[in-house]
Amino acid sequence: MNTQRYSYSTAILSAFEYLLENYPEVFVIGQGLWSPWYVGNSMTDLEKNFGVDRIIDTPVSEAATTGAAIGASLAGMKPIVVHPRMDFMLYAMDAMVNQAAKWSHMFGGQSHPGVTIRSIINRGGEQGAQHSQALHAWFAHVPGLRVVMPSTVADARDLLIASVLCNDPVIYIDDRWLYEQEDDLPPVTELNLTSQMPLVSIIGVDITIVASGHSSLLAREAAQKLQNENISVEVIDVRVLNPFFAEKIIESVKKTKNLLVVDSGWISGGFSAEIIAKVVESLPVNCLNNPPVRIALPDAPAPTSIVLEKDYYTSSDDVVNTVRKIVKN
Amino acid sequence: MHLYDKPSGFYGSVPIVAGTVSLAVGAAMAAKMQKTDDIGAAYIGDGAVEEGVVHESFNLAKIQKAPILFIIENNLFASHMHISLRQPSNMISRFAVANDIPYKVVDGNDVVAVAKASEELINDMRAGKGPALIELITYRWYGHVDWRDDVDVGVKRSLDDIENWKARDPILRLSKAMMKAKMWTKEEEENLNINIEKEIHTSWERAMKDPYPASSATLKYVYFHENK
Repeated sequence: MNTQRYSYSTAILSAFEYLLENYPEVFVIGQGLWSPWYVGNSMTDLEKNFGVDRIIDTPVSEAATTGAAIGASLAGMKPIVVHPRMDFMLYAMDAMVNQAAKWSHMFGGQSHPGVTIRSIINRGGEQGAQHSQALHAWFAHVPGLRVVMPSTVADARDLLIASVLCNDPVIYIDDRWLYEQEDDLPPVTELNLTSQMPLVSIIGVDITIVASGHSSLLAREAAQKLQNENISVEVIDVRVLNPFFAEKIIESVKKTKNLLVVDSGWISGGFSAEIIAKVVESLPVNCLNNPPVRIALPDAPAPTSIVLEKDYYTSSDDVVNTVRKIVKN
Repeated sequence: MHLYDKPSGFYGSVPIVAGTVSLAVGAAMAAKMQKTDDIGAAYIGDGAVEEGVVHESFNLAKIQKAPILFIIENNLFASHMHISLRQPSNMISRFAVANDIPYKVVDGNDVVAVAKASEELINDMRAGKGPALIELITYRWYGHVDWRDDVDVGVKRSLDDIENWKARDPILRLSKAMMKAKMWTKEEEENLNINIEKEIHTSWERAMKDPYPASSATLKYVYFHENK
């Protein structure tokens, strides 16, 4: 098949190009769009190729910008809002949670804000507590929002396109720590976001690891390392956190009888708990060989010190060590 | 609360104060991109300008030259608080000055004056001059929540004030002026009032007979695709 080499970030760029070329109602709005160092190389030259009327760099106004995109979607456009850091997006909570998420429901299904809000998790490098947050669990809690966390190069491109073509408000969350991954992709096939399910990315029999976004990459790396020790890991990438469909995960855990969840958010009240709850609710009693385990961030804001950061964030070795403990129990 | 009438260009009204002002700016930006003759219109009160997003919206609309009319009904009250307890000035149009947005301050109880001023501003907007603001000075007859005068729930205002403002009822003033100009008669006014009463009554009856939604409705409209 005719494939092309992409990194995760250039895959995002190619999704923007595909949408802007094929859908005249698509426009992009957010901060830093004419100075794309904000967003790595995921938006290079878009304003040159598609014009500053469709690639709109904005005042420092997350709330109004996000609201304006929602309003434009109600008037027939397909806007993409870009928040180069999730931390700053919190100014726009009313627009996302009170307006976009509720709109279809409040008006009895007569009106739908088909808006995509791209938010980037950008952490590490001693950037500290306000330049680091992974708040996907908050948005997964809100009915009416679709929450997408691509982990692979293919999903980075194809789920962005699917998000924009979807008629609902979508929070699309990518992660700067994923940008260097590479893969060969076939030409675009448009996917229907509503039928995208968790995906088994590695098949195994000893334990199921469930994760999303960057945590899925850690899980895949851990699974490779554990192969050498004859531990066979099944990795499931959640991909879409809201609405969340757990069937594939439940089937997998019935087979492996061990469950580990890895998540890039805080442990308390986080999405890791939701995954375990949904799975355990549907399992027969005594199905598991070990209690389910989760790896997530400690309940503290991100530290600024590089020494503390090393402990704070999860590594693939942390995942390897935890799996060893569970499986050899 | 949740009012909607897309065929009339009414995209929605919701209870969060100022929550839809930025949405209206976006609708105006869409009209500009789609090159229709449409404009955006956001109706807000004097209380709404105390929300930060309104100022972001003024600024964004101006910098984007979005064809939107910000219609400020300054009725001096927000919930239980008089404007003098909430703002250092009772003129909302000062925020138009701050954002270099053309504006007019009008007697909000004068229908003809409101129509004339709006027309001028809208014509300029359609000529590509960007946003405009119209401040309508008026008064709140009723309480924050219901049909009562609301003189004794934390709001310091006298019944005299309310009666004086009721004498400036914009519909009453318009009707009197039209009669004076021999544009219509007392009889026509009475007939119109009877017809309006009838329409309200019929709609009320229809609403009371309308069945409650099925229990499936709670989940049905959360997402678009579940609406099929």
